[in-house]
Amino acid sequence: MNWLKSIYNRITLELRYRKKLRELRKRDPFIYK
Amino acid sequence: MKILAVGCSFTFGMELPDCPASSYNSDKTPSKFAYPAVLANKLTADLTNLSLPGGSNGRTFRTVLDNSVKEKYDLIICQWTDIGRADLRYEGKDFPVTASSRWLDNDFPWITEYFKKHYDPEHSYQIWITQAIALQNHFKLLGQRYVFLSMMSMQDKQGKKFPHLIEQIDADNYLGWETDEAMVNWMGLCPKGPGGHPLELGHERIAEKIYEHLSNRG
Repeated sequence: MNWLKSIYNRITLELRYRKKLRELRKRDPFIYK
Repeated sequence: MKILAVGCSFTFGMELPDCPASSYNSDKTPSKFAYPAVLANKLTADLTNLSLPGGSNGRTFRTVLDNSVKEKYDLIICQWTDIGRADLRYEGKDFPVTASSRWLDNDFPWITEYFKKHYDPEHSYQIWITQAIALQNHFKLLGQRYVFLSMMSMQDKQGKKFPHLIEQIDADNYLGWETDEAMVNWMGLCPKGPGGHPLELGHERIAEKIYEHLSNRG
């Protein structure tokens, strides 16, 4: 069961990172290049 | 009269007719239609604009401080930007990095990893506000005339974590601090480039706002 828990944790962490990046890009959307 | 202006793409004049994003490279000079140039014309002043598209607050802090010691200016315009930007160097030049710089993904995939895993807004806010306080106190010591302004509101939820630092900001020399307004408010509903930057009308409005502030301050 540990492997399942590990995959679950990895997926939730990745989703959290992606949300963070989306919010950062939304706050500073200005493109200069 | 000599003016120094330092900030990000807003102060550089990105996307104005003489600075289209499509032809941008690091040797490009700031726009003659950007608000610092409009203001310098109004005041019949010589302008040095050391802004950089994508430039960070860290770069603005060290560029302004360095130049204020090297040379005497009658007025320094210091424009703060989003706290998330990183102050890096690459091949001997300032290397602007924002979370929206997706063109960096191929050559520098670690940058996206940095924003995902290591970036902390509370930490970045603390870095910015301590730099702003240090710079204003440096100006006070020099007797330097200056104006701070921001691209966007700098009093968001991160600011609430540092009330003891927030109260150190000298609102008299920080245009928009008291009312929590910034350039994105002053430019109002005006034509913008595809990258989100104001075109001529927006810059004229921003220049007018600074001119008004300077006239009121005497």
